[in-house]
Amino acid sequence: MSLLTVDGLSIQTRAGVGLVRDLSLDVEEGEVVGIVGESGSGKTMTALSLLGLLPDGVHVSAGTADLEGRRFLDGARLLERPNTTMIFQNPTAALNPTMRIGAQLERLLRFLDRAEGRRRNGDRRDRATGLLASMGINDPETVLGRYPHQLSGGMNQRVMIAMAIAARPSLLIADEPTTGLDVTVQAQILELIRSTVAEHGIGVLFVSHDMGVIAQMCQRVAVMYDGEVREFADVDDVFHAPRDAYTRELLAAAGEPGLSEEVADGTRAG
Amino acid sequence: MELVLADIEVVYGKRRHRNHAVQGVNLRVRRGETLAVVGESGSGKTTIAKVAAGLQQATAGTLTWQPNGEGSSDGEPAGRQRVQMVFQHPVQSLDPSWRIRRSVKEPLRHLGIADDEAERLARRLITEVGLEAEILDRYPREVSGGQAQRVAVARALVSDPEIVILDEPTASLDQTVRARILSLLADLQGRTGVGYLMITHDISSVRRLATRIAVMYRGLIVESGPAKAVLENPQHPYTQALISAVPVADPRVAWQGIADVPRNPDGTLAVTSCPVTGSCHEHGPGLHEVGPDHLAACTRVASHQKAATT
Repeated sequence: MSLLTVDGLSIQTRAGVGLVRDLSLDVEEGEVVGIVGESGSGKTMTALSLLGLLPDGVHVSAGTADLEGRRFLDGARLLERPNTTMIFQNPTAALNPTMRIGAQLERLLRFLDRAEGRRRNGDRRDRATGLLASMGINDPETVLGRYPHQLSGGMNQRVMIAMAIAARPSLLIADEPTTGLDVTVQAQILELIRSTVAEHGIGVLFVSHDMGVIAQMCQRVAVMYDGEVREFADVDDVFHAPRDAYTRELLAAAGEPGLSEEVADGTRAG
Repeated sequence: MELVLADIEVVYGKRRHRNHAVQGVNLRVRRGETLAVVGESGSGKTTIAKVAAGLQQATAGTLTWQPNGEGSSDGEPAGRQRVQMVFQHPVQSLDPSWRIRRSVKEPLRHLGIADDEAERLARRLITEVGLEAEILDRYPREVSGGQAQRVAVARALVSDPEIVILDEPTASLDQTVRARILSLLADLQGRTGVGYLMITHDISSVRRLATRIAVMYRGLIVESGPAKAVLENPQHPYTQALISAVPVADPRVAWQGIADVPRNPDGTLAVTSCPVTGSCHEHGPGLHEVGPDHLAACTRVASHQKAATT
């Protein structure tokens, strides 16, 4: 049984414009499945719809989604909150700018404790410290005392991942989590996501426009274009035996490491 | 013509808060070539772009134009007219209250070119960057990011500059759009002979365009050379880290990424892959030749060279 099954998902605006049409995909337990496509292809709308986070004026018009065999989305109705958390493209904007990191983490832990009927008070600070330490943050105490704007984008994304993992989700949705970060920071965040989800056995729906990131992070990938899935297969097939013309264009744009002729001899006529 | 930055030093702040953004940087940007300056946030690369564009005064060092080939030391001082710039956020770099026509013609107005001639040039450039002339009547909010970046390229080239500075020109664009903008830039360079100074944090994005690469780390150039040599045979551990940080777009290649090392106080990567790390920034090994026209500032490389010559 798949962890997540999405079947025939369609998303529309109020005016009836289709943003996503008849999308089907699935994520196995512990698997990372990518959604790749350019801006406007519907990949982020798909991710948001699974959490009931679609913006005003946009709604699910058809389709179902099941998590661990339980239906949580049926057409326009979100039947229940799936055990899913999400990390976003701009972590600094996703955190509360008026609260210190420590306060945000403790509030989340209190909320989670209450949901589980537990009443633990004293040790939340320690648990917050432990969470940040497990995200490879060297001096968690310092970070807990900071506001989001005092931290780098990479550090804020580590905090976001800590918060997403604290809820012990069975599925994590990552929407362009490293876009806008320096490549060196991206490399470290990707490694953190990879090791964390492997350790906790979490399934991941990984949205990206970067074919390099998709190739290295995902086992399977859905290529989206203009609201439709053009191809859904193992990354190896998509990268080495693409069946769709648009997939081939994406691959060409990602630019195979082979140097172009202009660069080959280090000079150029002109 | 070539734009020569000699011994550029930029210091922010005063007294105890002095912060060297750039130290002793030497660079040349030639017509018809692309020099890519690569580094992380905090490396000083954007400061270099601002100095080259005349948007910022260097604390020390000179910025001159020299005739191509070998120059006498007394090149003429660089003015702004021959340099144009393309910014990272294309839509934000256009005045939202101006029609695109006005933005594209603006550099010509400053040069005192008559309006009908400016109109003709604007139309020609807009066509050359692959847009329809009717886009001149629109406002920036009415075009996509990729179109806005093409407009920005047209605006940069309309006054026929010697050098265009590209500051992360494709960072905010999708990969497919990115590839098209890069091939447009290469195409325009082939036709006009313009020189590019390209600033980026993503070393993989310079493969298609760069003739030469200079790698900046904490205000210093730590490696420079022909693009092929730097990409295929990087000598400095920091250059090696930048290259291995880019995820390989092939699932069959096992990508290791880079170690999850702590960062320097300025947010840049600490180079831990080097056995003598730490000593570099104190005694500054300086740039040594490691291949034809290929320089690296590495203690190990320097000692290898000494061993080889003695």
